[in-house]
Amino acid sequence: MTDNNIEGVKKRIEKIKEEQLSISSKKHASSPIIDIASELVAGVIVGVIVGILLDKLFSSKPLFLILCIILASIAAFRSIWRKYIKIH
Amino acid sequence: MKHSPLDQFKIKEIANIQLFGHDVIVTNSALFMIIASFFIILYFTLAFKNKKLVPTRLQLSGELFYNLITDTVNQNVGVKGKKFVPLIFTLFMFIMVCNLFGMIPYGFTVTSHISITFALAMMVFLLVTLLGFILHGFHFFSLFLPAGTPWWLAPLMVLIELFAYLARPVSLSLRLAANMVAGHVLLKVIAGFIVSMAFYLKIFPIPFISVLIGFEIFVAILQAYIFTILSCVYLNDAINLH
Repeated sequence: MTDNNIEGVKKRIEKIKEEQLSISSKKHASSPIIDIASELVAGVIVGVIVGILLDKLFSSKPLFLILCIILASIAAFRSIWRKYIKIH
Repeated sequence: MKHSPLDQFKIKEIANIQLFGHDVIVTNSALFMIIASFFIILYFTLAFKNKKLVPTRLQLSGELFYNLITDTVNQNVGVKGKKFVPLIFTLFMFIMVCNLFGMIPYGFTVTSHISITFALAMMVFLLVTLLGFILHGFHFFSLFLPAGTPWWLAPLMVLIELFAYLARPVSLSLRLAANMVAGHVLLKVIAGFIVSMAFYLKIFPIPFISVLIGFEIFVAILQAYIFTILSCVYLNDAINLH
C-alpha cells in the first residue's frame, strides 16, 4: 500500500470519528435542563432511600442519611460531568 | 379546576370488572396501554403481511423502525447484543406509541406517570444487573471501579459509582416522565393563551401552536429513542465489561 493510500485511509478514519463524536454529543444535547435536573433529583432520591434503610438497619438515625445524600449528590454531579463536560 | 394544565394527567376509572372474585379496575392509563399494545401488533402484522422484495410504503415504515433499533443496538452493544434486539425494539415501540397517543386530542399520556416509566426502567436495570452477574460473576463489581483510579481513592470511588449505578433507573424514568409532563403542560398553557390572543392577533397564533405541537411530536419520538439508547448503553456495560 502506498503512502498516499495510507494517508487517505487515515483521513477517512478521522472524518468518521469526528462524525461519530458529533452524533454522540447530539444524543445528549436534546433537553439538557430536564436531563440535568432528573439526574440530580435521582441522585438525591437514591441517597435518601439508601440512607434511611441503612439508618433503620443500624439504628443510627441521621448518620447514614447525611453520608448517603452527600455521596449520592457527588455521584449525580459526576455523571452530569461525564455526560456533558467530557463530551464537549 | 377543569381547565388546570395538570387535569390531563389524572387517572380516571373507566370500568370495574369482576374477575374470579377480584376487582379489576380498568383506568384510562391501562386502557391506553392496551390500545397502544394492540396498535403495535396490528401495525406490524399489516406491515409484514405480504412481504415483498420491493417493499410497500407500510412495509418500508416497519423496516425503518426495525433498522433504526438494530443499528442502535449494533453501535452501542455490538454483536453480542443481537439477542436483545426484540426487547429493545419492544421497549422503543411501546414508549413511542404511548408518547404519540398522548398527542391525540383527549388522549392520555401514559408515560407522564413515574410509576409506568419507573417500571420500564426497573425492568432494564434488573436485566442489566442479573446479566452482568450471570456473564461475569463477581468480576461485575469491577464496573464500580473506573480504570486508573489511585488506590487511596478507590473506596470512595466505589461508593460514588455504586450510587451512580443505583440512580440509573430513577434518572431514566424521571427524564422520560418529566419531559412528557413539561411538554404537555407547556402546550396546554400556551393553548390557553392562544384563545385570548386570537381576539387581537386573529389567526396568527394558530401557526405558532402548530409548530409547538410539531415540536412536541418530535420530543415524543426523541424521548423514546433516548430511553432505548440509554438502555443499550447500560446493556453494553453489563455485556462488554471493561
